[in-house]
Amino acid sequence: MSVVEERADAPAAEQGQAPRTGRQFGPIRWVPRLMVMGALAYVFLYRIPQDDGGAAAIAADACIYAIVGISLNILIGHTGQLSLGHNGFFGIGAFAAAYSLTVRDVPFALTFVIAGLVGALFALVMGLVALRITGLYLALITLVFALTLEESLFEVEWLTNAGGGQPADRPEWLIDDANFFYFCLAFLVVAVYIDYRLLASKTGRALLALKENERVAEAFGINVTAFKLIAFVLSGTLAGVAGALLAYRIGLVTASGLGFNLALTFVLMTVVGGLGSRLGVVLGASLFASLSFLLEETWMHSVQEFLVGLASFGSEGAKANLEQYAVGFLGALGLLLTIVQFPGGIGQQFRAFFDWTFGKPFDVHALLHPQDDGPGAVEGSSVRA
Amino acid sequence: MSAVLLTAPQQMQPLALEFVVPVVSGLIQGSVYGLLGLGLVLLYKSGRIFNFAQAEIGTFSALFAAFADQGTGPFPDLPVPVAILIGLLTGVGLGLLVERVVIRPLFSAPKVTVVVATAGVLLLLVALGGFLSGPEPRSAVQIFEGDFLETSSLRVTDTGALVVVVLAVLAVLSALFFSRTRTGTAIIAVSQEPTATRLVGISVERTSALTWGIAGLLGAIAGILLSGTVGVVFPGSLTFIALVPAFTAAVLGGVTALPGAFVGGVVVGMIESFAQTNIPKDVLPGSGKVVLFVALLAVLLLRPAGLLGKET
Amino acid sequence: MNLRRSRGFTIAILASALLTAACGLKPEVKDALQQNPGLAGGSGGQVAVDTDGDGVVDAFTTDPAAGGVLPDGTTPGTTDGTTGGTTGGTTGGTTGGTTGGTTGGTTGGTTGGTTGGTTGGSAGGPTAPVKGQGDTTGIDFASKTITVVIHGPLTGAGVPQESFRTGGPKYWEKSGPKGGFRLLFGDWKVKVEAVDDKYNAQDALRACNSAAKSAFAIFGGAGTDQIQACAQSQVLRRANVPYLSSGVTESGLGKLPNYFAGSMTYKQQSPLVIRAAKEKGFMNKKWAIVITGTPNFADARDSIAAELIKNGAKGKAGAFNKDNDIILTEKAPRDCLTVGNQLRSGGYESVYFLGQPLFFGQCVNQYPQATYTGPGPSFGIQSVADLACRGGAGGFKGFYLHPSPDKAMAQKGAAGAPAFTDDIEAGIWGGMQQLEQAFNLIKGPVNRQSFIAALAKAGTPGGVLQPAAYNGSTRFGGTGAYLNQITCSGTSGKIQTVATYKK
Repeated sequence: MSVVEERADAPAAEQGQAPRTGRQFGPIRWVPRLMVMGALAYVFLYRIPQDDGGAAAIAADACIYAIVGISLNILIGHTGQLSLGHNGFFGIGAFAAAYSLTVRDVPFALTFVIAGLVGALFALVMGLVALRITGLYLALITLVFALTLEESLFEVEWLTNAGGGQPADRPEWLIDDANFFYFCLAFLVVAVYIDYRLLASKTGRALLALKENERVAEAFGINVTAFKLIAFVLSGTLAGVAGALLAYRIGLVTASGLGFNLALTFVLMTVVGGLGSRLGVVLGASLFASLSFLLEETWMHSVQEFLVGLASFGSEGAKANLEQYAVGFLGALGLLLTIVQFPGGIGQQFRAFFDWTFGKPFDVHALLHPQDDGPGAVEGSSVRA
Repeated sequence: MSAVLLTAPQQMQPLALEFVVPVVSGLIQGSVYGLLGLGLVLLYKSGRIFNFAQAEIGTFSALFAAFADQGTGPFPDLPVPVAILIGLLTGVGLGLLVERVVIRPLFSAPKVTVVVATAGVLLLLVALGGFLSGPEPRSAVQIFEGDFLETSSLRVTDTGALVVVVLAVLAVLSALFFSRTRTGTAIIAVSQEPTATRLVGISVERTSALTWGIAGLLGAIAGILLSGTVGVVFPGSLTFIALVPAFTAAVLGGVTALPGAFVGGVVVGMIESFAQTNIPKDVLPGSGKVVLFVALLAVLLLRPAGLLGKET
Repeated sequence: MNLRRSRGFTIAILASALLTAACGLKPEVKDALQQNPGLAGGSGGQVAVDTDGDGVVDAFTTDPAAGGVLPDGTTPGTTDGTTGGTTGGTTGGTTGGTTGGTTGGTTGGTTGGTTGGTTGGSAGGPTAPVKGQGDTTGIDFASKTITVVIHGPLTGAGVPQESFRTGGPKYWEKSGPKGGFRLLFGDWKVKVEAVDDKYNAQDALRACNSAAKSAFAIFGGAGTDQIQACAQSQVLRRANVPYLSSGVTESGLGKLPNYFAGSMTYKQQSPLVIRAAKEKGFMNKKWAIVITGTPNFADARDSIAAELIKNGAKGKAGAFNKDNDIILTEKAPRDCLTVGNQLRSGGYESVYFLGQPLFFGQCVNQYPQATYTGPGPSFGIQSVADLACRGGAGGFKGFYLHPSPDKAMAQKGAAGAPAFTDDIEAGIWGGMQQLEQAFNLIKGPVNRQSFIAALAKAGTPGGVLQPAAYNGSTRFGGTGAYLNQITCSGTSGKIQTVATYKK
């Protein structure tokens, strides 16, 4: 599902610095690139949405997760604030949208605005906390905050219908999953663009400076308070809107679907994607959103079946267990490998191909040394306790 | 504590009941959080990281103990003490393995990376536990099966009482360990000045392995005891039941002081229990969590080092 | 941010505003399209059909591209003349005659009435599905297989149940002649797929919505929130997917076109709980209700509280009292220390318990002195009993209602079935039996519309489960329940049916 951020990042490549090598082949060098772009567009804009095996719905999930990834990346990747409570902002957005649509009869379009505002409000509260509490303590307090929301606010009957969940029916024209995917994709494009503009702006540079060292940043006259709050509010807005999309994606919001596991998934997909890398975050999010579908509904299933068959030594019970936990196992293994072996994440791995597609020469160096790759490049966040 | 309860008359006043029941429930539940919190504090104290896999190391150990107890998997049907020993060894082994494979390669990585890596270990352990045991709950090893105390209004099982005692003993022991033993001091030294410590001839690697081994053991003790109070164990069970409250307990008590986990755990358990009993769900759902969040926020804002922690 | 820099944000905000505005416009455009059949090709809108004249919409046609057939045997639009004749003859015979009049005015039931009337009654039972006649999603014509999906808590409740997986195939693949396949219309097979709803309404809905595309019908095994979420699903309603479940809550489910509860709801069972208490001698005791605080249990909670008060039950202090004697719990409580001690300190002797199985087991462990009772389906009851009996703290005294009887009794009722592993498997087996009985109600080619129309008008005769009667007036068809006694046999729970109750 990478086509999205490729489009959004295109201006980056176009306006980018002069090509690193002087070799120019004129229009001819674009032929293979256009073919690749065409193939990608075909797969992601036509083949997947029109798939009748349910891929469109999963692709919509991928877009939603990717928006959350972008949102989380603003905090962790750009600003260096580890939030483990993004399921809270996401969830409050989902409930706000579902409640205003179903109970208050608010027009469909307006529910997204409400979700964004409510997400921003809750993030602002956390941002204020983050002014005093930093590092791992902040991570913990966001975690407990989200858990408190999950068990308290998300169980308040008038708002969420408690265990029953708050329904959120899509309008008629969006019921088709393919349409809904395009709808989510549009939101993702906007989110990517916002993130792109953010990083290119003074605010973005201020945030990066914050991440490196708050005190030094302050000494240089950067208003730490204001920029931290901006980062939180922006992140919360995106997460809230993504929550609204999820509400319509599923048609129902319940607290139990928004728990600790989701918070972990959000952080993991962002780290596996590559902190700070827009491309990587979107790819990582898409991967986490679609992993179980890929393993169960596509050709990969036969590979999985084969491996499971080998590993279970003919025992039916072992086979069932292996199948059930295969997705979690591969996700966790991928995560650990990424962190220990390829700290740059998926973003780093794909950077060279991506840049090539949009006109730069194929850069083997970028594949191996991501740190040289400009301000958006991958760096571990320097959150310290 | 128990002396007071034992003499409690058969027909207590309703008001006293509303007080005593949450105190006792909270004490037992909080001790469980505290036990997990001990391991968390140890790792924070030595390496400034939060270990998300701590509870799952406990689950894994409890699962192995249950395997050995019931004679499933690779184990013959073993007596309870042996099963528990196997569980404890599993914990230590896991701690050492995680340190070697995940933590050590990340020595110089940012802390956030290490923390996320422990979350990865958590997920991996859940999946591995699932491979071995399946999702079905397995009945946990019971060390004792009797009742420590049973009146018309209260019941405390032996396992429940044991948790409280073990927590208290371990908290004191580990405090002594850090202040009185050479190894304990070495762990602190490494956490504060790795380079200087190396120069003095202390192996940073060995110290790190030692810390994780002890943390694994603490996790296993917590896991086996907690699964005993719950009655069952399945992949992810202890993480679900106790991880976040244990973190809260650790921070509330002070992540830099080991007895802090004890105090923090008991405070967390009692707050939850009081709120649950006295604030009806239709007035404020999840009241325990709300009160806890507010308490945590207040402590972190007013006394960032925790109730017992020292400013460092 | 200075002005120049903020331009990017302005653009982004404008873009999103435009986007949302466009979304806001779209529905009206769509509506306009729908109101003009010429534009929408006469197929855009939904046609509500009320086959039984009770004001309840019984079906929607939604898939005109596939030649949607109304329950009374008509096809909308231009296809009336061609396929309307054949289906009208078969299914129209009964529907058309009785209810064609009421629906006629709005949905072009004139064709249903006339064609139905002429050839009505010629066909006696279901015939194999015909491609293009009605909604045949989930039907594979090449392999002659009908796919049905069961959703249940395979993981997540703490008491996951392998029997949810095995119950369905045991009915369709191992209980037929000579222990082989059970065939419909001569040579059609039914394939049952179990999907995991993780004991969570959101995941259940996700699973159901995706199953709506691949399954002919969906069967909800257990879990009130999960069943309610699926039944109310926009996707299922719109695609008119037959959704069958055990009776749970009534909240929001009574008016759904595609929903059928094949056993008594919790509310309907409340008087039976009282009856059981009187017959088994735990009525005249101190009562408590321990129940998950979800609106989906509100009808169960209010009805049992009303019954207890009506029958003069005692509470903690004096008469049973809604404020004192109902303990509302979290959805997934972490332990039962607090609730268990609350029960103990209140001196309760009879407890109506409705909540998560794992939590239930812990509570019995913590406070085994009471007699526990409640409605079914309580599919986790075997696990609860096992957990409680393993604790060894005094065992488990319980009387629970359930749609299906104990394993042994079910085995007797299910002639030709291989041995059941537990009561859950027996219950799913019974549910599948109900499903086959529903298929047999259809007259004419099988499709989603004819299935729903036929079942809504009649009911199923029962077997392992008790009969269900919808009769065009209700969607809660249950007519009876079994009373199961739960005791400990060593360290495992024992379930035994001790009475059969009729409504």
